[in-house]
Amino acid sequence: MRTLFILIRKELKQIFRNKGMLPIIFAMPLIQLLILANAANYEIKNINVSILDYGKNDFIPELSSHLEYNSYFTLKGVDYDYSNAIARLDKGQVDAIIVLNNNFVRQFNSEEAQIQLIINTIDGASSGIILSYLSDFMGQYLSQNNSSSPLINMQYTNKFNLKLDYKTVMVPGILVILISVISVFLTAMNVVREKEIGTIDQLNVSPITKLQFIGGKLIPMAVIALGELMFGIAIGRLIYGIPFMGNPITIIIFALAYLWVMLSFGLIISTRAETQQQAMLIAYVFLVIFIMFSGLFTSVESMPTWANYISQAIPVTHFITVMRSVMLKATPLHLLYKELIILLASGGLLFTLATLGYKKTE
Amino acid sequence: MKELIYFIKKEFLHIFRDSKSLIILFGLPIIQIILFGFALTNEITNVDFAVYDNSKSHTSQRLINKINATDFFTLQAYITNPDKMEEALISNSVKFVLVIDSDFAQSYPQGKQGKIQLLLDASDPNIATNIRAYLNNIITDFSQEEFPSLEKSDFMTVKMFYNPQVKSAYLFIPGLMAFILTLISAFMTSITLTREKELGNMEILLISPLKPYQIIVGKVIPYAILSIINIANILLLGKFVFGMPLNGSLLLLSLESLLFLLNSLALGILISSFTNSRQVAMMVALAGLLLPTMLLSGFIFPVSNMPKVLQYFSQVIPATHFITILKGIMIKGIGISYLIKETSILALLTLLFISISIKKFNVRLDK
Repeated sequence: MRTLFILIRKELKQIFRNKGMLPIIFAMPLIQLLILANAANYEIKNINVSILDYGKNDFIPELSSHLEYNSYFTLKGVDYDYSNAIARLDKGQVDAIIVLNNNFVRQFNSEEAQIQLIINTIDGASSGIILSYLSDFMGQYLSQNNSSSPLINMQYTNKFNLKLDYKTVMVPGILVILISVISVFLTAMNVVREKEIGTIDQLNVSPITKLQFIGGKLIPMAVIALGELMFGIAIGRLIYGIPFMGNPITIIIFALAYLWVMLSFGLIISTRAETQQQAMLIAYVFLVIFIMFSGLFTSVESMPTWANYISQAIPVTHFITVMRSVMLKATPLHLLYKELIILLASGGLLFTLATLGYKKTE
Repeated sequence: MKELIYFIKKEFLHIFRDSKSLIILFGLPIIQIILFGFALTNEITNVDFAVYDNSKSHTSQRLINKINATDFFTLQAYITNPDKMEEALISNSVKFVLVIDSDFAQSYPQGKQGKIQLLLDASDPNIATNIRAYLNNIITDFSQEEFPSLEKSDFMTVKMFYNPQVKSAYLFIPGLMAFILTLISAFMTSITLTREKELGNMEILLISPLKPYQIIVGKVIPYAILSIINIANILLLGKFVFGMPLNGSLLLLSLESLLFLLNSLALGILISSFTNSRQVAMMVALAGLLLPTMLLSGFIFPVSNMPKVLQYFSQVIPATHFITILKGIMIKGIGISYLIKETSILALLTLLFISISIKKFNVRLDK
């Protein structure tokens, strides 16, 4: 036990001695959290539209003022021929064009009024939302002159996130990713660095057991990462007002299980790589896959089935789910047993592999 | 000049000697493009939901079946006790609960509206918005089927421009290309230069007949060549595996890609001019660039949705402009006259990176 304690102290000293790395470990993640929380946003605030009018329709002013009044749309102009309208689209000036054909007025009160919506799909993530907003708007605009109302009235409640605020969701998720990136990279470089500078030989000939060695590497990083996580949650709450509805103990239990998995993973890379550069590249490959399949930026629901399996095999997915559930929904521990079992099982597996991968006799 | 060629040869030897890294450098872009090209979409499928049916009528059953029959939604459970609705959402077993009013089926004949309610798990706003839009369409269809007499003709037609089938690959592949190139090129250049500094070889190089700029050029050229091969790989994959169009000029695309490559290499040189430690260089190049390149460049989240301050900030991220250029040339098929702004910003940023590096680069032994 004393040996382990001394090893932990050694690691902590080495981390805090390296003045070049300190800002990267502590400041960079938090700065990124503060900035990037604002960037991750699918919410459409401003849709630029133009009108292409073939028939010089005299109700254009009315339609324009409706568009202007609606806070989602900005009218960029009215064109009278196709090539001018498409040029706006090519320049990226507008997201959608409303096309009115030449006998629109005559047919306005009949049901055959023809409208075409041209949607710019180049910014794909939002094109579906633009389409639904714009067709909702046009539908309402046209039905003003038409008394029929829909037969089924669907009301909805947005539970847990009343205003559909993206920051509420993104801050916990981005925080998890930043902490994973820092801790996996640092552990991946750790052992291989000792190999490169030769200090590993000194450790190998000393009476330190494998478990003590691995524990001495894991525990300091886990403490730092857990501290950053807590600090990040506090910052999210103070600056962005992210709610914390659940039990903090649940988060701590899951965070420890999660860090056990991720740090063991970093150590596996580190004990097998030959150079720091290799270790970083391998860690990078996996981290990018973890981030993209975690369901944070593109939801798990929108992946094909095979990708769903990958997503389920990734610890990040489960920890993000837990963070969201506990923070926003106050989900109690017993409803999250599935995630806990998965994290503990993968932690056990990876930790064993990490311990086996480190050979003292090499 | 001869010295430079020998030096480049030496660098290539270094690169080829580390076969593991080489495999990653070439394999990584291919694996990422294939994995993400197929997996990243914005369309929802198989969203789990529960129903609390107060109406218990044939009409409500038909509605439930209709929703369940689509690819988008999968019925998980019927809830009979209203207290359980919240729990279904809290335990993450369903994404929404559909509540059908008790007089849903009786309302129609009397000309009243049938009422349904939707309890959405909005802890992921994107899914919540999508679910609502999809359900709206299904319900409109449903009421037209139930009451064909009220059927309206479709007065609105929609044309999806540039990407008619809204293929996700079209949207993600340009982003992935910029993302992969930035990180790999910046990472490799920064590490190769700092390694010489950290190990002390830089001093040996500086007393050799090579001039400082030749050292940098010699270090960077091998990685430039590797990255060009990567660009070609990604473009070919995009074309033949994902059917990415190339509506614009191939020459323009190649030139713009070279400009962006130069920019990423310059970024790597810039990072290495600020530090003597490989660890710091690697962490800045990978951990520091990873999320900003992903989130601020418009790769995943549209730049136009960001707050104004961040929109300006995204303008200094080179990937932002390269993604616009790629999408413009490949999908829109537009020429250089539409892309002058993006191209000149990229060129300016490259010049800026290089001139700062020249100023900072330490050719003396002690600072």
